[in-house]
Amino acid sequence: MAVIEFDILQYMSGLTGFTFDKAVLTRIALKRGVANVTEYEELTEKQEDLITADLLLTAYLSPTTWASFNQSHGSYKKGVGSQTMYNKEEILEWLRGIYEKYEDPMLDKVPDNSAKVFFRNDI
Amino acid sequence: MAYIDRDELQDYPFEGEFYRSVSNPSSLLNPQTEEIIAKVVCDIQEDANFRATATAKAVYAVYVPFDSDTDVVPVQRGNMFRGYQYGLLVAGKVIGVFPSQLGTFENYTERGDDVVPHRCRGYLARVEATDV
Repeated sequence: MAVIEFDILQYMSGLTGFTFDKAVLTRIALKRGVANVTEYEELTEKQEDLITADLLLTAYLSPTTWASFNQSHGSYKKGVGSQTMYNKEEILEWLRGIYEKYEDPMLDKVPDNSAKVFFRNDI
Repeated sequence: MAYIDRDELQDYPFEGEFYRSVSNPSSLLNPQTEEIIAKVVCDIQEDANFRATATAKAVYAVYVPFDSDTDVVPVQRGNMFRGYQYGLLVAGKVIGVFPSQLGTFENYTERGDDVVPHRCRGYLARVEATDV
């Protein structure tokens, strides 16, 4: 059986169904203090949850449809197709739930689109 | 790879040199010597290849960074080129030189930004190599 080597960026890229830029993964890894993690066991559940929330927040704040990315060198070509997010509000609620669970400071930066009822007592 | 790495391709990962042969009739031992025209960083890609009964030819595209504000293109058709791609020798005769207002980076990654009009940012030298 092949040995699975742990790579934090590769692992983070598997936390959601989106294909992110390496720069996004690197930023979040640095921010969450996991850039130097080399073993899966070093990663806590809280870190994994918050990283997932950060990734989904990045996706939420991105255009609904992400452009495809292609590059070629000589006759060799590779690419990632375009990606579309249909359920933005559900994802927002989900990631808010993660930030709330851990009382993470990012909660203050997340848009709150939930419906609220206000009662006015001045009329 | 499950993520997008926009910096995966290097612009000019290889080194090479353009040179020409110079006649030296006064020397019986070295009647032809080489004169280096330019040592360059470059990218090298196969542009085309041809096979005949006893001959195989390949044309390579050699992309070289260049700034028209400070220099003129030193390479001419008929010059020679040699360079290495990770130890593989690419050598042959320059059969065409094509200055470009775009650097090669934008072409590879299909990025359209960072274009400076009316200014040469690189040139393409087509090099024909022949093996018999």
